[in-house]
Amino acid sequence: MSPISISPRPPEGEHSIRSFRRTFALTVGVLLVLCGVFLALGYLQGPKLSSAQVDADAVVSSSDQTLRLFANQTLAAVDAGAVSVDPAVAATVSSDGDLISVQFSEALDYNTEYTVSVEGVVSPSGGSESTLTYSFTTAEPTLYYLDRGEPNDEIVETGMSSQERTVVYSGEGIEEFVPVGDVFAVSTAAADRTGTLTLVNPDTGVTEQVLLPEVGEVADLDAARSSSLLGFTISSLDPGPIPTVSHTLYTLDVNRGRDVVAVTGLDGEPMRVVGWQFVPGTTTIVALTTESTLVRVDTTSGLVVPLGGYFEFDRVSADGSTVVVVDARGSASVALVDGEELRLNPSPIDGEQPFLGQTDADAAGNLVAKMVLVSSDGGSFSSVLAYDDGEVSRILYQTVDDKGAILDFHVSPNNQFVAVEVQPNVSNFDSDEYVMNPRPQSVTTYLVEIATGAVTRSVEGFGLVWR
Amino acid sequence: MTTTVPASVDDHHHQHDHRPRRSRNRWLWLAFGTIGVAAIFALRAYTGELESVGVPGLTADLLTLATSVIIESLPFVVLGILLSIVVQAWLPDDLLMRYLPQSPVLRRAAISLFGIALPVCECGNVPLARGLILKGFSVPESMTFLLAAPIINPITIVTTHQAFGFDDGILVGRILGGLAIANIVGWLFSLHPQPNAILTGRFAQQCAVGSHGPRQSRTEKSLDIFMRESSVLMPAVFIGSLIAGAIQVAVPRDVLVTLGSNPLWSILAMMALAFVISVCSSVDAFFILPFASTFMPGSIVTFLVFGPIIDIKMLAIMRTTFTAKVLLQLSLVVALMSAFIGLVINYVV
Repeated sequence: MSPISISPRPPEGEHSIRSFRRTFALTVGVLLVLCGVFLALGYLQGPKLSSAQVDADAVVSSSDQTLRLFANQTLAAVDAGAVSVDPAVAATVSSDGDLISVQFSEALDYNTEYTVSVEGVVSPSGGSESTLTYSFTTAEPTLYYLDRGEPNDEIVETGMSSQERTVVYSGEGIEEFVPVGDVFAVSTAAADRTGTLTLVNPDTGVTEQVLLPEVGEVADLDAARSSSLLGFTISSLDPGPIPTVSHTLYTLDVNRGRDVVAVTGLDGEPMRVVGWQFVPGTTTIVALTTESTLVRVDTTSGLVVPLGGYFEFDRVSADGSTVVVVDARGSASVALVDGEELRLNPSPIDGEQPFLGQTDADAAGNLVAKMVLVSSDGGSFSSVLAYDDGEVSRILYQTVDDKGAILDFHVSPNNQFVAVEVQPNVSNFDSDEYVMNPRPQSVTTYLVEIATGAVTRSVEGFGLVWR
Repeated sequence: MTTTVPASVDDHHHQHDHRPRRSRNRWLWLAFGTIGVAAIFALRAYTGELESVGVPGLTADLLTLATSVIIESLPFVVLGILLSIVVQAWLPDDLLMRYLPQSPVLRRAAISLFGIALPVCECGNVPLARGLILKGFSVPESMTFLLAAPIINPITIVTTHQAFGFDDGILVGRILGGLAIANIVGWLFSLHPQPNAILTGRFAQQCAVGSHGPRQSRTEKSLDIFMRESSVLMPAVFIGSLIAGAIQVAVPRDVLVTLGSNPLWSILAMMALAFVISVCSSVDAFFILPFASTFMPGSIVTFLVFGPIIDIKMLAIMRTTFTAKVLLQLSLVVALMSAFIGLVINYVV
């Protein structure tokens, strides 16, 4: 290193004008050849994948999720049949500019590597076709359940494959719970059934009791997944001649203050319901009113749409497509989009015709349902959880020697698993005698894969929530 | 080297005799500018509530597109001017030039990085390049600086990052491509047996004017630079934005898409665009951003490395310094290297 010189620097070595021209021509020649080579390679290569976007959590929770593939250049329109997914899932494809959108028709399986290929991708100016391929692994759900015990009841967080058990909240006399936003809503009841609603934050440990608009039983907690809207019913302690008459439906947005708002019905009055639920993944409510009207309520606009007249409310399907209700003619699934009704008649199990109980009916018409098989002589019966594909029913879970009982079940949002609440042996009367929502002390929840019927996990507790 | 010719007597008279008129002109322009800005605010106040002001759709599109480029680029242009003032008026002349390697290749490599500390676009680099020659740098060395500085300077890097982030290797391609072009061209012209023959006679006079102007205080010099840079850059920003908007409005999108997705035409179209619009390197990333959705990334890089070196404006400015033959040779090599860099990026990314 040296200080800068003030005198002009001489040219590097002795060069003749001829050698300069030769070097210049050589440089230009080399650059021309290199440009030609890479131009040819560019023509032969075709479009390439630059990046991709997919929400690994949302794609296992709801259908119609989109994988976005960004190419390195603008593309000609992609053929609708050009997309293939492995493992096979129905999907549609569209393109705009350098973006290819692959929309999955159904929620994908948990913790599974999917490979999406789009063939025949070509530039608008022609050239070589290429196949864009992208692989991604879907997320696992977080599971929450209630484990009642002495001295405290515990809300437990766990996973599908891990055996880890994390207590997110423990307290006395938990009747129901549901995760909503960043908190958990927990209901408890005094001996006279007077309910309280508490919001607990597992991260900060802060608990706060919600000021309720009326004194009564608090029940039917539900929350919109990926939203902060909580819903529940309050019933007067003196139920009167018809116990369901006072079940007023309220909502509370936990991220927007603590105002408890009554849901209004078709008549503009607070709605009284015999059963209700959020449509999974949305803030839309489906409820059966005490006037036996099935309604769909948009909580954002307040719009109430009647869907028909029924007596009993069973459940909204895990995929959010239908609601199962009961009337004098039996069970029916009602499409939430247009209210179209489909009567549910269970398919035979091993040639025997079962009786249908609680049912989850997915968009394709497949059922996961409690079914009862009665022996030919009528002397015995067995309660099973079965999967009905419209042709035959297949047993998913049955207690050992039919000694137990299937209490309830919760299908996962992607219809891959079902969580079955089981009392292993009904002859042991071991109720925990909670006033609102009693359960046998021996209640166990099994996770069953619907495709195979394999039990993959079991936990001691109930009220399992898929998140 | 015989480049330090004193300024002619006429030049000095030219500068001093017309000061009152220049001053009057400045006030006139200031008044025009103030009235213009006030008129824009008044227009906004008057038409803001109207749903339609009767501007035809195409004109509205043109104005929207042009305004968006201006709004995005203007803060960076002002920042560039302020930094340019700091470098030219407030930093010691030889701060960046005290220590350089002896080896010609390393020396040029170091000079090509000077731009990092000289945040001015190509318009402002020509006087700096002249200054380098005056301080004893060889012509190829000053040429290396002239080609690299507009691309390597921090304002250009910041605006390019602001526009593209690290997507598709555009920013990295621009920086490395600019350095490669500057060093290779510098090497090539270092082989020239008569470096002085590269220069025009007029350049010597301009160098002399640059070093023998009236002595000014730093504040005066700062104001002078601000006015000079603003008067060169602002029209470039506004006219460049209008041309960019006009191209997008006038040329059908189908044509742009077809051009942009073709490996050869996308490169040639970008070079032609860069050559014609002559937008400054400080803001060219914002100018070309709307084209990024239709053109391949390598073609964008070609625009970003070719434009700051070879365009109508730069050729006009450089013609005052280099002979026509040299500019032709320079243009050919820079065009081929820019195309090569673009083709490689299109293939790799």
